[in-house]
Parts: sequence; structure tokens; C-alpha cells
Amino acid sequence: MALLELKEGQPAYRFYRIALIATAALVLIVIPWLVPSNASVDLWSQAVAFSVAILGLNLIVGVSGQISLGHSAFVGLGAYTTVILVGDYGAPYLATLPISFALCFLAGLVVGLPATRLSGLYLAVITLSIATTFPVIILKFSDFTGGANGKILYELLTPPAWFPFETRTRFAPVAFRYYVILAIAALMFLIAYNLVNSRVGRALKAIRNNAISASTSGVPVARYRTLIFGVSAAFSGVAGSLLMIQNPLATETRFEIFMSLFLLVAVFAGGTVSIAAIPGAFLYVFLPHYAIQWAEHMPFLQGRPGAGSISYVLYGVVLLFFIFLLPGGVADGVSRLWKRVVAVRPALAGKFIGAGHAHNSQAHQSPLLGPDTVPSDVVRRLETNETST
Amino acid sequence: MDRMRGGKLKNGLRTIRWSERARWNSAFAIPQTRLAAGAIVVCLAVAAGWAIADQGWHLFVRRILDGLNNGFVYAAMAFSLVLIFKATGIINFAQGNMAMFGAFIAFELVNLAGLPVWLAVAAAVLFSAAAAAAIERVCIRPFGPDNHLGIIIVTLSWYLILFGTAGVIWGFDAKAFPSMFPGGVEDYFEVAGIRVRFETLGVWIVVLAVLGGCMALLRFTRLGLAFRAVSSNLESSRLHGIHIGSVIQFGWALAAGVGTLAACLIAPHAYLDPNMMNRVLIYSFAAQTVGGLDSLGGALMGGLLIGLVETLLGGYVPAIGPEFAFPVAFVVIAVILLVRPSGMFGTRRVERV
Repeated sequence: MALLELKEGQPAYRFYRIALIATAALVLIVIPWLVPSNASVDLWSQAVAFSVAILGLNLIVGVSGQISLGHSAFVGLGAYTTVILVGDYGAPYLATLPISFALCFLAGLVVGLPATRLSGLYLAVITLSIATTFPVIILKFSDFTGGANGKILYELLTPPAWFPFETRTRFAPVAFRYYVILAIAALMFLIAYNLVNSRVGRALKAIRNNAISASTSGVPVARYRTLIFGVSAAFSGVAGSLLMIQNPLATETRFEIFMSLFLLVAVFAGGTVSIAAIPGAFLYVFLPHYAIQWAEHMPFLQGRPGAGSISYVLYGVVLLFFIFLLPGGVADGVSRLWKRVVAVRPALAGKFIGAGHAHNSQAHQSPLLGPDTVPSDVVRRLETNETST
Repeated sequence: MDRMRGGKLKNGLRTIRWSERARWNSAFAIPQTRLAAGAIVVCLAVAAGWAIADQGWHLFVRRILDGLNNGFVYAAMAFSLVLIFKATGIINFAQGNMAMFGAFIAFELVNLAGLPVWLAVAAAVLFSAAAAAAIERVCIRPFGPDNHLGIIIVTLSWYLILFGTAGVIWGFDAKAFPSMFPGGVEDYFEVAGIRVRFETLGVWIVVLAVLGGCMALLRFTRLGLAFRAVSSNLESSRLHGIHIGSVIQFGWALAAGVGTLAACLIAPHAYLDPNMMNRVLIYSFAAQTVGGLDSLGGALMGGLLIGLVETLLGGYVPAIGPEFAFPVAFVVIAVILLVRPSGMFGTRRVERV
């Protein structure tokens, strides 16, 4: 059994949680000193920025059990908002974050409106067409967006005078951008955590498990589905703005349908609990980076003009791997391993029969595994009985 | 819905024939539908009159012909999407790239093996049917038929795998695909001063023949009957002793074959590259949605409608233009889904708790 057993509500348990969070924070803070070059710090900034987008998509896929293929458009909307406001109107970078949050929230509400009436399949089709439409719209309004040439800002976010670390060449601005992105990402994770564990989050989980029975219990299904789509789009918009803080270059090819698909791969690879956005983001950023380096050394890929697209194949294979072998994603696998080291007993375990089990299974439930309430053959038997009588 | 299901259990498979015919008739039995259809026809007539008065009827007819040309290809793609939907109950996002891959294989058969185009396309159709059957067996069947999210994710991963593999093998430079029909400058005939190219006519005839053949296959053979039974009610067809897995596999193979054919038909215009089917796929989704997700005839109608809308709007409305006609497909999908989620001819779904 587990090496260490803790009970919820004990001081030791509280210390354990604080220690976990502090360790994670410490690792993320010292990262710029551990990696070899400024370019790798930039990759880490990218990963942190994308983790916000993945978190946003996870609010739809994991929490409300729907599927969206259109999040590349929202990331793009946020990115273009930042680039246009900073470039054409001279706004400071950080001031554009709330604006792209609000703008993408509204856009998400508008797109989410059909979602109120439709099942997941229709939503997938609508969002897919949004993702493919976005680059066309960018090209159409080219005097505003820069068209096919993209929009580049030459003035990056620079550290203020009190920011000390001028230890390596050009290290301070890169590190400063990393910390800014990290701080905002941490804020977004906090918002998502509170949302998921609030009344709204519980209602969304009820909708995911069974929309009709949730609505008969008084949950306004339509309103919550639209709301969560808006919030998710807003998270993606903030991620787009963070990407522009890291590298202020907005072209329509960065926000193609493939970004949506890769984000989805990241969601399922990381796992559909919100904290899993972090391993998903690593996969998103580092897999193509190393895949391209690896492809340069493979004899069967050398000299082929499209060799870089090997990363698409790898993404697809990774997705298949997780769907078949580890449907809960990395987070599920790690937490199952970790349970052998530290086991947490819920505080109510002794009082209600089965309460402990319910608590544990709800925390890491993947929508792929289906609602965990009633076995489907029981439901089927009930249905056929009803129809024949 | 309840009574229909009970009836099916009692009377066996014969009722399925009845219910499909009834669906065609009932689509126009609802007053709102008739009103909406009337309004659409009036709008179309006014728009057509304005277009003819504006730029002459020669151009108008030519645009209609172009639109129908695209429309038949969209119809074939939408048809294959509907087949998958009827078999597995999901939308196959990999359908476009499966078709793209098949078209590349036909291209290689012409280029490397030196086969005539017709033969190469036929071989590619057979190959992709076999490949789709294998994909269904290995990646789709392990999931329960109710696990739609899982199956959709599998189709998305195949979308990526096929796209990346095609990119690695053939690169992203557009390649010219040989046409199956005489496509020279002189290959046309004239009707009342309007040139109809043999190529255009060939696409229409092939698509109509293949779609008609598939409909006949589904309507008049035992396998087709089994397929319709499975798509209508999985449980009761299992009780009747139908082997569900192989019937669904048959649906996937048929769909992939039709899709590959559609890709080979559009490849001479669109050129061959790994991205070629993305746009066609979106238009075909629109066509499938307009026709009703699970109606084979609706897919044909929807495809033609979307092709016409794309070409005419892109041609006649300067603010839209040919490039911007693409988002119009999205607007069509959104409006149809909001107004009539089951499309023109689709089955209305009633869910029970």
C-alpha cells in the first residue's frame, strides 16, 4: 500500500498540499536558470502560454463534455487584438489582456449560442468551420490585419528598471517575459480552479454526465453551456495575447485548423482534469520542436521537402496511443502512480457508505470513460422494457 | 418515435422500407417547412432575375453549370459522410484526408505504373475501401457504439496521420492530376450558344451513376437491408442475427470508395496536395447538414445547393467574391442548425431519459 497515508482536514494534509504547490511553483520559477539557452526559455514561455489555451479547451472538453475544433480562431482573435492594439494604437502589452479576454468572451458567447440547442457533434462541425474560416477572414481584411504578410511588432515587452537579472547576454528581457506569462497563467489557473469547484462547475459536470437529467433537476443547461463556451474562448484569447507577448508575430498560418487539433491532442494527452493542461502544453510545444530535429537525422526523411510534417503523424499516433491505452491522459497515469506513495483518505469516508469512492472517482474522471453512474447495459435493458410494454 | 420502434420490433425489417419512404413524404408535410421552402424559392427566383438582368443569361447559365459541377463533388463527399454517420453515428473528420490519400495513390498509379487514368482511379477506390475497412476494424470497433467522443477523437487522429504521411511522401507542392474525361480546349458541345464541357458532363454522370448504384445497393440487396437495419436500430438488428461489425465495416468501405472517387473528380481542378480536401470537406459538412445528417438523398440535394450557393454568391456579390464564399458555408450550417436541426430530410431524434 501507500507509503504515507493522510486524512483530509488534518494539519499534515494541509502541509502536504502547500508543499506540493510550493514545489511546483519553485520548479517553474527557477526554470530559466536550468535551461541551456535563451531560446529554450522562449520555448518554455510558449509552453506556459499554450497551457492557458489548453486549460480553456479543457473547460469545454473535460468539464462540460463537448468538443470544440474552433479554438485556434479564438487564440488568433486574442493574438490579433494584442498586436493591433499595441502596434496601431500604442497600447501597453498588458493592457490588451483584459480587452482580448472580453472580446473573445463575447465571440465565444455568439459561437456558443448554437451549442445551447445542439449536441456535441453539431458543435464540432460549427467550430470546425469557424477554425477554417478564420484565416480567410484575416486575409480578407488585410489592411487591418496585415494580410498574408502578417503583423509584426518590433517593440517587445521590456523589463522595468528594477528587474535585476542581467547575468547573461540578453537574458533579462527573455526571463522577464517568461515571468510575466507565468504570473498571468497562474492567475488564469486560479480562476479556472475556482470556476470548476464552484456551483457552476458542479452544474457543468452534471450536464456532462446527463444533460436531460440535469435539466430536470433545475440546471439551466442552455445558459451554462453558452457561458462555459464564452469562458473557454476567453481563456484561449488570453493565451493568444500571451503568445504575442512572447513573440509578437501574428500571421494567419499560425492559427490554422491544425492548432485546434493539436490543442485537442494536448487536452487528451494531458488528461481532462484542469491541472493536466501543463503536461499537455509541454507535448504541444516540445514534440514538434524535437520531432523536426529528429527528422533531420533520419535517413528516410532526408531530402524530402515535407519532412517537417512528420510531427503531424506523431501527434496523430500520440492521440491514438492515449485514447487506446491511457484514456485518462498523463495526469491520470501519474496520479495513479502517486497514490501508491501518498494516499489521501477523504474526511467523510467513514460516515457515508461509498462516499469515499465517489470522491475519488469524480476527481479524475475522463469524459471518454463515459458517465460513471449506471452501467450502460442496465440502461438499455430498462429502455427496451419500457418500449415493449 | 415510440410507436415506430415498437412496430419495428414486431414486424421485423420490412417496416424500415416504409419508414424511409415516409420520411421523404413527411419532410414537406409540415406547414412551416412548406412556407420556408416557398420563401426560399421566391428569393431564389428574384435573385436569379436580378442576376440575369445584371450580367446577361449566358454568364448566369455558365455559373450554374460550374456550381453544379462543384455541387456534384460535394454531394459525393456528403454522401460518404452520411454513410459513415448511418453506420457509426458520428461525423468522420478523416473522410477528406482518406479521399486525398486515395487520390494520391491514383496519381502514383498513373505516374509510376503507367496505368490509364480510369483504371488507376478504380484501383485507388478499391484500395481505399480496403484501407477504411481495416481502419474500422482496428481503431473504431474496439470502442462501444455509444462512445461517440472516443470515435471522433480516433477520426481526428487519422486526419493528422494521413495528412502528415501525405506531406512526408509527396510534399506540399501542388501536382496536376490527369482528368478522367477529355479535358482539352476543344472538348465541348454547344447548346443554344452555351458551351458544355465533356469534363463537366462526365463528373455529373459519374457521380449520379455511383450514387444511384449505392442507393440501389442499399435498397435492393440483403447487405443493404442489413445496413439500413443497423443504422435504424442497433439493438433490434442484433436480435435479428445481423453481424453488426461487418455491416458497419461495409459502410466504412463504401464511404471511403465514394470519397476517393470524389477526390479524383475534383483533383484536376483543385490540384493535388495534402490540403486539397479541407475546403471540400467543410462544404460537404454543410451539404450534409442541409440535407439532414442521415439522409442519402438529402446529401445529393444539399451538395448541389451548396455548390450553387458558393458559385453564385461568389460570382454575383462583389463584397463576397470567390475567396470569401467559403465562410458562407459556415453561415449556412449555423442557420440551418438553428432553424431546423434535423435538416431538410433528416430524422428527428427524440431522446428519453
